[in-house]
Amino acid sequence: MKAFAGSFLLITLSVVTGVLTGAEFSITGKVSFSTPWDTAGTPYAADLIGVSLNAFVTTIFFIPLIGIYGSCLFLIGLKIIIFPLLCIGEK
Amino acid sequence: MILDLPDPLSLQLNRFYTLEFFREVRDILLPQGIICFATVGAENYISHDRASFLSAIYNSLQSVFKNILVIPRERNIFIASDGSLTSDIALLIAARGIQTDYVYEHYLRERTTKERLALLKGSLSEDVPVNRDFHPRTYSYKIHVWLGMFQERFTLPLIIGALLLTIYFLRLGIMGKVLFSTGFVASSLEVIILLVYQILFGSVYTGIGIIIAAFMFGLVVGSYMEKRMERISTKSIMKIEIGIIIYLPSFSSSFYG
Repeated sequence: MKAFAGSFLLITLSVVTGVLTGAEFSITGKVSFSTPWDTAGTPYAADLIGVSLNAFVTTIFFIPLIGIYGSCLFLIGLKIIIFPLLCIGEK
Repeated sequence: MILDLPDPLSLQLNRFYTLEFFREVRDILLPQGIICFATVGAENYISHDRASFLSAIYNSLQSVFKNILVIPRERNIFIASDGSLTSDIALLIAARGIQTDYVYEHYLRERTTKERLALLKGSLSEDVPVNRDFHPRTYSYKIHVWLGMFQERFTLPLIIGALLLTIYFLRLGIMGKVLFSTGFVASSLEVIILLVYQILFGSVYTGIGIIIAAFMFGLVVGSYMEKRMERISTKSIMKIEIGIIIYLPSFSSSFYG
């Protein structure tokens, strides 16, 4: 039962992560980039560089040095830094 | 209980050297029961990284068991128990009349000399934090020990890489920065989910398919939501950003609940 609950939790977190990412990616593409090749190029490159950077940084530095909780705090900090930039851009 | 495992060079192995694992072992052992395992040692010189590695394991054991004994040499043998322990194993073997072919008295006495025990004991530090499932320190120290065997230095490539990334990030527009950070966050969370799965279930292989499929399914649902929205503006992105900021603490707390 514990194993089932653990698996269910991880799968749910994976789905929620996907929903937020998918929604933001498609909305940002529609709001900011005019042509299909713009949408397919620039945001996709930015997204993939973020992904590739993480694949290196999280496993080599974050998890061993600051643990899972510390890694999540770092990610919150990153998003909190980005949010005001978005607000400024809106104005 | 005897653990015959390699050193914790991966998270899969690290789970057998954590505070949580030692607690589970203590719960199933008899009061006089013993846990014993070995890690790769160094006979005459204990580097700072190796000392940190040994200290993390020692401190984790000390948080759970009353008595810990570390027998040094090419393999450091950790023995822990709530019962009494002695390093004079040769005396115990002789007292109980146990016949041995290889592990004879002189070999054991040479291995457990006061000087060797003192060298190892003196290298251990109480300041090194314990090793946890979700904060795997021995894994990090072990990588440092391993890298210390080679002369390569990675500082310059890392600095160049960080500089290039910083320039790229600064040149990105605001939406590019948002997507960069979202890609970073999303893949971090996926890596964390996979690592947590490995920590909890022992192998990531059994779950990697369903976890990646779940993430892809989420991407589809998220993209479809955009089609269903009547008005799309920068405010929609801000709402999702707030959603991510709220989601992250609940994500991390779900593993510590």
